[in-house]
Order: sequence, then C-alpha cells, then structure tokens
Amino acid sequence: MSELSETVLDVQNLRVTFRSEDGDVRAVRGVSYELARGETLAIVGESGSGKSVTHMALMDLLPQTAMISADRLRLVGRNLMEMSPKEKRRMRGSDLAMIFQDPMTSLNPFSTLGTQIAEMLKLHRGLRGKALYAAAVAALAEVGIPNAEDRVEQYPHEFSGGMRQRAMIAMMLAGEPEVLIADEPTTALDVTVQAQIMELLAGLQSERGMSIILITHDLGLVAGSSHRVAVMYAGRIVEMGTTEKIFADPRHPYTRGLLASVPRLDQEGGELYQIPGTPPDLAHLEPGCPFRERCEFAV
Amino acid sequence: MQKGAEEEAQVDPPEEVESGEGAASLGDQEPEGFTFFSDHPLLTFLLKRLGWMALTLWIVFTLSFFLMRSIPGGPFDQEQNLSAEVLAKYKAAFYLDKPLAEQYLLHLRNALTGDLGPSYKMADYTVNEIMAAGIPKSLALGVIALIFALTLGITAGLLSAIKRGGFLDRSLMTVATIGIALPNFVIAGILILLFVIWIPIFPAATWGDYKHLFLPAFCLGAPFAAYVARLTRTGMLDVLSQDYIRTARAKGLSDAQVLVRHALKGGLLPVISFLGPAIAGILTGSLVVEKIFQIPGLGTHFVQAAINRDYTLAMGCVLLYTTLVYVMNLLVDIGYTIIDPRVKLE
Repeated sequence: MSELSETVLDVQNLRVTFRSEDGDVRAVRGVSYELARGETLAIVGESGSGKSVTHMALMDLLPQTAMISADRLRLVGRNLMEMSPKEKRRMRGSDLAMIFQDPMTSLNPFSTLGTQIAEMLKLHRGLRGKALYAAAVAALAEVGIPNAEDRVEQYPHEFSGGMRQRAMIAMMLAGEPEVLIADEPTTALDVTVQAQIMELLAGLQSERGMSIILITHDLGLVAGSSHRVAVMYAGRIVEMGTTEKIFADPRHPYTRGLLASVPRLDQEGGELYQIPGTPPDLAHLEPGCPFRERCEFAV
Repeated sequence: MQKGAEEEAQVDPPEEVESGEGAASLGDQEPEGFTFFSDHPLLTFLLKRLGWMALTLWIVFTLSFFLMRSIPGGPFDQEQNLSAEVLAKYKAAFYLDKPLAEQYLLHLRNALTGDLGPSYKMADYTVNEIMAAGIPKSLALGVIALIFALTLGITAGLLSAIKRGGFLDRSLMTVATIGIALPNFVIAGILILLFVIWIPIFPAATWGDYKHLFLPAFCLGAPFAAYVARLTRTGMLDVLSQDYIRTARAKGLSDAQVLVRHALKGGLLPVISFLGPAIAGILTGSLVVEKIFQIPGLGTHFVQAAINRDYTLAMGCVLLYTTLVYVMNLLVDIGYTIIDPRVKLE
C-alpha cells in the first residue's frame, strides 16, 4: 500500500446540476479527488449527498436533464470531457466499470448469466465461439461460484443474493477495467455475505491491480476495506483522508456525527446517536455551510 | 376415448348417459397422465389442459344446446308452405320429434364422433361442409388483421416509448385512443367512404382476390393495433426504467443494443399476454366486419344461424370458436414460459 503513485482517475471540480421546474438542483457542487492505481477510495455520506450522482456522471449514465461540468476529468490519461458519446460508450465497461446495489434487479431476468457475461467478453475482448464460452465459465469460477459450467446456463432468479452479486462482479470485471465503481455493493445482502463479497473484491483487486471506488453509507465496511475515505455532504467532499486518520481524528462535525452513529459492539447499550435534522434542499441552497442547521458547534 | 363413448352409445340408447359423463371424466383422468409423464413438464401440461378443454367444450355444448332451444321459434317456423307430412319428415331427420333429453344425447353422440349433422336451413350441406368452406376465408381475414395489428401496434408503441413526451408520442397515442374508442363498423364506414367512393382503389365488398381483404382486415385489426400500441408503450417504459437497463448501458452497449437485447423481451410481455384475448376478439369481431363487407366466412354463418334458429350450424360455430380461443390461450401460455424463464408451466 506504500506505492500509491500513478493516478488513474483525476476529478477536479466536478459539478452536476439537474434542471427541474422547482429550480436547478445542484446535486454535485465541485467534487475533486485523485485515485491511485490499486487504491480503494471509500465515498461515504447519507442518501442524497451526491455520492452516486458523482459516479453516474463519470459513467455518463445520468439522464439528459443533467448538466455536467468539470475543470478536469481524466481516466488513465484520457480526457473524459473531450470524448464523443461513442468513445464514452466504449470506455464504459472497459476502462471504467460499475456494479450496483441490488443484484436482483440489476441483472436481466430474461437471459442466462452466461449470455450476460458473454456479452461483455464479446464487446470488450472480442471473444467468439468456444473461447467465449470458456471465458464466461472461467469468469464465473473466478468469483467463487461453484459448478460454473452448469451455472452459466442459469437465470438470475436461480441464484442466491450473494451469488448474484458475485455474478455481477464477474460480468463487470469481464472487460478488465482500470477502475471499478462499487455503488453500495453489499447493502442488499446479509452481513455474512457482505464480508464474503468485500473479501472477493479485495482479492480481485490485488490480482488485477485495479482501483476501486466504494460508495457506501456503512462505515463498518469502510474501516476494513479502504485506503482512503472521502466524506460527502450536500454535493461536496467535506473531509478526505486515510482511513486511519478519519476514524482516529475526524475533523468535520458531520464526519464525527457519522462515526458516532455507528453501533459498536464494545460499548454498553444506551441510545444510538443520530445526526439531528435532514439534508438540505439542493434546489434552494443558501450561502454558507449547508451543515450549519444540523451542526452542534454552530453558533 | 371418443371411440369408446361412441360404441357404448350405439349398443343401447339408455346407456348414452355414460357418453355425456365420459366426456366430462376426461378431465378427471389427468392425475394418471400427470404421474406417468411427470418428467415431461410440457407433455403433462398439454394433457392437463386438453382435459380441461374437453370438459369446457362439453359444458359449452350443453349450455348452447339448451339455451338455443329455449329461445322462442324453431328452424322451420317461417316456411309456411310445408305440408304436415314434409314437416314431420324434416323433424324426424333432425330428431325434432324426440323428447329434448333424447335429442341432446343423440346430438352429443354425433358431436363426439365429429359429425355435427346437417344444417337445418341449408339442408343440402352438412355443418362440417359449411364450416370447411367458411374457415379459410375467416382465417385469412383474421391472420392478416392480426399481422397488421401487431406490426403497426408494436412499431407505434416502440416509437412512442423511445420518444416519450414528444410530439410523435402524443400524436401516436391520440390516434391510438381514437382507434380503441371507435367501433369497427364506424371505421368500416369511414374506410368505404375514403377508399371506395372518394378514391376508388378498393372494392367495396364481397370475396375475391387479395384486394377484397384489405379494407376488412384493416377494419378488424385497427382497434387491436391501437391497443397493442398502448400496451407496447407502457411495457417498454416500465422496462426502460428498470435497474438492469442501467446495467446494460453501464456495460457499454449502444442504445439500439440495449433496446433490442435487454428491453424488448420484457417490454413485449404485456403484448404476449394480450394475444390470447386479442385473437379471440379478432375472431368474434369478424362477425360484424364480415357482415359489413359481405364476406362469406364463418362470422356471416354464425349470425345467420342464430337468426334462423339453425341449431346445428350455430352449435358448430360455438364449438369451433371455443376450441380456437382455448388453443390460442394455450399457445400464449407456452410462449410466455419460453420468453420469461421465471414462469413455469403448471
């Protein structure tokens, strides 16, 4: 973990605004970070903090109503801002891949997993015929799915939740991406399966040397699996640092609030802390710190 | 099964009660077939459904038989110059001199052997002959109407879904709403006015070459095209908002690939479900259209048979339609399981 030198993803001042009848919703208000090869960066924040929208923007998966701007967006040295729609499409799945929260609804229920994985292998690696089939089986086996030869013929509903997420990972890694965006990859799974999936991701990461952006609201997950943490609030990164530093010495009151609201096994019962209030309305943000209404240090 | 029932019936008329129950018990025999073919789900399913179809046909036969005869009037009421002798001969030939229960059993026995008897009104022809002459015409009309309804409906629905909220979407859906609301005899009137009287490119009526099929098929298919368009649009919009479509886009597929490989199957499922009732609707709807365009298909006979109290011919039509609707729904159910792997035959 010492040689986190080469930058694979460079995001500077990314902004995403949605046009709506109620006024412009500024969902992402200037996000900047750099991601090193082999690094795992956790993006933490509550619902509506802009952590998913930021990365949907990078994937170019947002609807037409979204206006995206940035000072710099570079992925392995290529400028995302200057790419044609076709080039962006080619980049999706090959350089930059994404896995989603609910593996039940995120896989196509009408086709076999073999078909869905083969689609990626065909598109990004140009495989055909027997090599294609063998690669699809190998991809399933690699993510720890037993009897992969039989499983490729099966449909998503024949898989358990954990196995489905494994298959999703196999599918999205088929294009050998540099960066994998994992959007709440374990939220829909039960706790023991969560640990297995995170272990699998870590294993694949060290084998392939890819970088992972782990979007989550689960700080427990962050502690064990990421090198750095970025805390997002109201469309901005409010605090970023190594995982040890964030946990040991959080500076922003929002980060402190998040940490205080994690249930801990080593502390006696009592009521769990919760940050008062709700996130601000991003269509009508007033100047100044958007957290001040909920901040215990605000005067 | 049918042979057995027939032989039984021929030995002794009082035992014919058995033949009626014989048809009914076809459904009860299914558990046997079920265990025997338990490792062939499709075969088990087909046997089960055919059993139910036999039962349904028997019930339809029975209900139609007694309902038709409970309507005032009889097949020979209008022919006033028949002498008593001739009338008696007629009645004997058609079992009309026998008690109702016996008539029922005799007709049921004949039906089980596939003989629907002579037409009461067109006595030179049997019901089977009349239907055999009408089926190809009605079938041609129905198939063309269906093809028309599906191609036009699905195309319009897809365009609407892709361009949702736009001008094209709104115009197409307005036309579709009008198409659903207008009864086909109104559409027929408009079409005849347009393409027969004002711009004479199609013949007004009767049966001849393909040109004669065009207007009636359009007329018959139009409301279904409109309905299919709306179903396709709703289905596609529903599917396009699904998570797995986002996944497909994240894979790097083009919009067209996402649409064809990932959205189409799920989006067209509502249309598949609608096919069963649609085919039934097109068949029964053809009664009106055939009447308007004077096509000598089944629909015309059906209407005439009911008016003339032609018991046997009406019965033949009823049984044929029942079978068709049943078989079409069966095919739709099987098609559904082929498209959606989560649906199992039962």
